[in-house]
Amino acid sequence: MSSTQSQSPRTHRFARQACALAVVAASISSGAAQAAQTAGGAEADAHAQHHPAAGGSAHSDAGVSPPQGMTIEILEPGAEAVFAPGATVPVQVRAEGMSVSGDHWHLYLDGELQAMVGAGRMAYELVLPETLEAGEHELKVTISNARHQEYDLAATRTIRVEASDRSPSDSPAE
Amino acid sequence: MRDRQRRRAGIIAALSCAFALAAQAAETGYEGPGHRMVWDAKGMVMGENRGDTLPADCPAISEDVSLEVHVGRKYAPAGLVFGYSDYQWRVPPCSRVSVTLVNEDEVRHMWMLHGLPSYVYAQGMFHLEAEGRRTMTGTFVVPGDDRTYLVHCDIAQHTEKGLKAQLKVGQGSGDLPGVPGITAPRYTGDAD
Repeated sequence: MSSTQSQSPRTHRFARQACALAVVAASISSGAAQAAQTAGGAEADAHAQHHPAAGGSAHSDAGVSPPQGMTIEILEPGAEAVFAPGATVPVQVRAEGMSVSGDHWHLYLDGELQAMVGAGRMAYELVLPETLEAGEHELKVTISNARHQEYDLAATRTIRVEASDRSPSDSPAE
Repeated sequence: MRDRQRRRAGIIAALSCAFALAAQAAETGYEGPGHRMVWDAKGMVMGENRGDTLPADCPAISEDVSLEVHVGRKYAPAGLVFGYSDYQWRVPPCSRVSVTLVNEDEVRHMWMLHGLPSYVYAQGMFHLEAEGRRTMTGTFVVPGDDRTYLVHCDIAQHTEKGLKAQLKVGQGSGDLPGVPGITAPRYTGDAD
């Protein structure tokens, strides 16, 4: 048996072992990548939770293409609805193409993230800040996947905020 | 010489294999059953299921159950720091359970339940969390078998300081150790 013949199986065994290690490494890498994503999401959640004002688009800087047929629209409040600072705004959306378990919608007030709503809930009660200045303010909803990556779609609605002594007739100002 | 070349080729093949597999794994990104979440300034719900997906052994929701749970220092049993207003709940198999957690403390607390089927609930958890002085409500559907589930607050030391409870589905499957007012803690250190 020549030296080459005797070492060739060893070399192959080495390659197999190396590839097995590579699989393990890939597995670890995959786990690490998922863990990083999970941890990143959790960290972003925790960050937003403790610092809601820092919410904004912290979860996603760039949108992703929505699946075909995915839509979202705001049913409530109506256009130009008027509320007082501190009032509760019933927000109702209609969405198509969302996965109940992973997808959810994000609600923004003037670009600041207020809520993430999933598990099939299509309604949310937004409590306006007491300090919200009078004037027009924008509500925006987007759909996000389970990793908090927002799809490239959004619906907006302008509401008006007025002092409570000027209570409107068509909205539940408090 | 040829052997060294083969060894080098093996290393290159292995590294290529590793990079290819790692890239593929990173792209796949399986998300499991999803986090089913609600989050806002009041707190968070994860693993909410209002009936869109039933546990495999439940042909239908058997009934609706509402639980109101208060949490805070004022409910702490003697010798503990925190407490729930109740430490045990019983619900029918396949029932849809809505839990309202009323946090009477200034610090955050949880009502976190473990052991649900992981094909519906990510990591088998239903997680209800309320910021200080806030109230959160979430809903989940329990499976159809008799079983006792752990409920606790996962914030560091809150379980040990009194926030450990149990939810019994049907007849349950016994009592968990260390549930205040129900069972003694199980110490695993030296018996001496």
